[in-house]
Amino acid sequence: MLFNSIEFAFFLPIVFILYWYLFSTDTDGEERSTSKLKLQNFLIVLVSYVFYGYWDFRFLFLIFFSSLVDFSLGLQLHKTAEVKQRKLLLGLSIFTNLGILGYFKYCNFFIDNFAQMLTSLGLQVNTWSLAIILPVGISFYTFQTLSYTIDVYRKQLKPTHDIIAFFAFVSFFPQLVAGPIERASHLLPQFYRSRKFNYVLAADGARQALWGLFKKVVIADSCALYVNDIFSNYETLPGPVLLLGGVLFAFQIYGDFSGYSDIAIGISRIFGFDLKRNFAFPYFSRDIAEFWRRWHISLSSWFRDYLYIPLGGSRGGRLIALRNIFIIFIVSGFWHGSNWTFIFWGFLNALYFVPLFLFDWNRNNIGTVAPNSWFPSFRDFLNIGLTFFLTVIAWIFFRSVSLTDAFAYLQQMATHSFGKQYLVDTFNYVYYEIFAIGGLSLFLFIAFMLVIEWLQREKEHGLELSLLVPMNFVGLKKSQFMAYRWSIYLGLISMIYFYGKVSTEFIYFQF
Amino acid sequence: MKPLHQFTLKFVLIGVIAVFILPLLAHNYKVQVNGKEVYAAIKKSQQRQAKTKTLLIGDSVANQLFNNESTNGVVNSLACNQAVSMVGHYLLLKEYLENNDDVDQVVLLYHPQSFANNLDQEFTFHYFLKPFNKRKNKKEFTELVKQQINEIPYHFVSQVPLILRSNFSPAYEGIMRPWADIFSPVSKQYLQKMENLTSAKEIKFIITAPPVRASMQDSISLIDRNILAEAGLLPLLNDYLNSIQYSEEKHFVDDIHFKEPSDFRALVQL
Repeated sequence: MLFNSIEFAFFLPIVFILYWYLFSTDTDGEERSTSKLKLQNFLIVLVSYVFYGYWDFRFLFLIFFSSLVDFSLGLQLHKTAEVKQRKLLLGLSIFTNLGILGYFKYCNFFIDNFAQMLTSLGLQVNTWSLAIILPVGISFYTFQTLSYTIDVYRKQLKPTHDIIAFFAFVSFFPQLVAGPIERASHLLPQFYRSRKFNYVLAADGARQALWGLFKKVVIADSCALYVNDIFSNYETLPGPVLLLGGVLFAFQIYGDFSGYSDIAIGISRIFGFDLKRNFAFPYFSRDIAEFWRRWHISLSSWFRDYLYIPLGGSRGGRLIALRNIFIIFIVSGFWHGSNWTFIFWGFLNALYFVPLFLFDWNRNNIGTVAPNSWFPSFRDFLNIGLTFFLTVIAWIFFRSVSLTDAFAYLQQMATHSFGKQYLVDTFNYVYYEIFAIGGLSLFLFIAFMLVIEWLQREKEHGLELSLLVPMNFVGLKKSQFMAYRWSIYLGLISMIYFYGKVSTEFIYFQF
Repeated sequence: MKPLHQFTLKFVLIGVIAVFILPLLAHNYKVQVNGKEVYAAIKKSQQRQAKTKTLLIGDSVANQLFNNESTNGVVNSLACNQAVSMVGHYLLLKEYLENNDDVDQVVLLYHPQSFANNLDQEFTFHYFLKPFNKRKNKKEFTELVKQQINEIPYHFVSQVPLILRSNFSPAYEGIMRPWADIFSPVSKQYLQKMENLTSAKEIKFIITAPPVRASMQDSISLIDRNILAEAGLLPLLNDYLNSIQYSEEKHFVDDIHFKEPSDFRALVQL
């Protein structure tokens, strides 16, 4: 089920009513019994399975199986002190989870590439592929459940004996199919506690979800129209239009994925859960290192904790550290999909990162850009522009169907940019293919999003209430202040209503 | 008020705004909704056009040749899209004839493949249910049509204002009809109803085809005339089937639509 679908518009209120009114553990004056909590957790498992099963119920067994295996292995790990046996149990968990992921996501990739390799060696092979459907969100929940067993193995986390809580942790519907990838140490304990409705948390969650929905259905889905056209016809388009295609894709993927994360975090807050932040306004980053601390934070930190550090991190000297940097970026690219384009995208980001690492500049920009200031300094502005440009180039690989297409796209962009004819073609395309069919509004919406997020860059999300606090200084009364807030909400709802696209899938579902 | 109830109330308020108030405010806002040619045809069917002698109805190919927004003279076009099905065309025709009594002939300009529509297509929800599944039209629905509507997922929300003003359309796909029996049961029923309606008003009813891709000739030759005869439609469709003209592949942008519609307008006998 998609967050931006009519089905979800019915699903969410029903779950809300069941959760807070019928199965509530927040009962004033009444003893909050464990059984009530279990019932509410069971409701979460049930509605999460409905949410996922609505797409394809056959794949529910994978989540069920993965949850069951890791729940059992977690308990076994706790009981066993012998190192060899513990390693075996951990290996079993890794093998099971990555085996499932490998089969469904990477099997055909390896078959195709193996066949190509044999062919290039002059061996005749009959190529074939398995008709495998990629289960939605498999990379997300696999990593989430895997982190549980690894943490238990490392004795950083006590295993849970509450199977319902564990199943709810793995399948929690707001973040099941596209993250944020939660750590058991953060999310699992929240299923042990009875949840009291918190108005401030829920209202902030609703605002964050609204902002996420705006980014998804107004920004991302509108960008997609032009991006699809440009990337499908790149051979015939002038360079500046191709650059525009890359820029629009940068906003599309940001609106899509950060939009999903905002909705997921926001909905979780409505249900009394706190999820980790996944995006921190990455396009205001001043270098690539900062970008990766702000983009898909839950995945970056997962790879840092479960791959980079176990490989030695930066402790074994420069060469080892460089090797590890390339490994995590390339693996991160491969995590996104079984295509060389994703691997190259990861590799390119590693190339961007390496100079910063070698000159120890990778932690130059830690805090928020231009704190307490309306505008960035000229230097920050240039750095933000350059970082954005580099990410756009990398996104071209991410979006292209094949590496050949990506290089051809860049070549066309470089060689068809300078000259009167290309400028005329660019003008014609922008005017007739974008502005004439209502595309001007998209640029205004992107500008609106950037302005709001710039103003909010020190906050958690674009609609955090403190955005409105400056209005207090101009002497607004409480009722005027409320009217101001509501006009923002209604303005956003109107934009979603009039300019949004319904039921378009989130890009990150495929990962 | 308890915080939970306060929050729920605001939640409901926003829901009411989104589902009811915004669509009302957006009464004339149709830019975002696909299929504006259908709404244009409905609007035209409700207006009086004294000078019209030939009324044209038809699918998107007919709309390419005789655009319903610009064909308003002696020949008047209500052509829109095959996705409205023969039921939609019938309702447009009936509405128009109720408002206009000067028409001499009605021409149904229809690609052979368009007759396959049995209200079971991906676009049926958006192009048929939203504009036509209205209370006033329901008396014109046969049992078969009601049955087909009931098969469409979420058919019961098709008139909710939010849905009406959006492009929402549930995933749905019917069966592919074989060429031998390309005329769907719904098409057959409503062709008959069109003929009855026009003959009752003593209006000539002609069915004609636009030029068709040459590569479709073999498929069209498979159409079983016995099936049409059993339905009592052969007298109406015999000339139609015999008079189909075929054109070279290079003139088409896809299976049925023209690259340059103006080059083919003159080939259609009205």
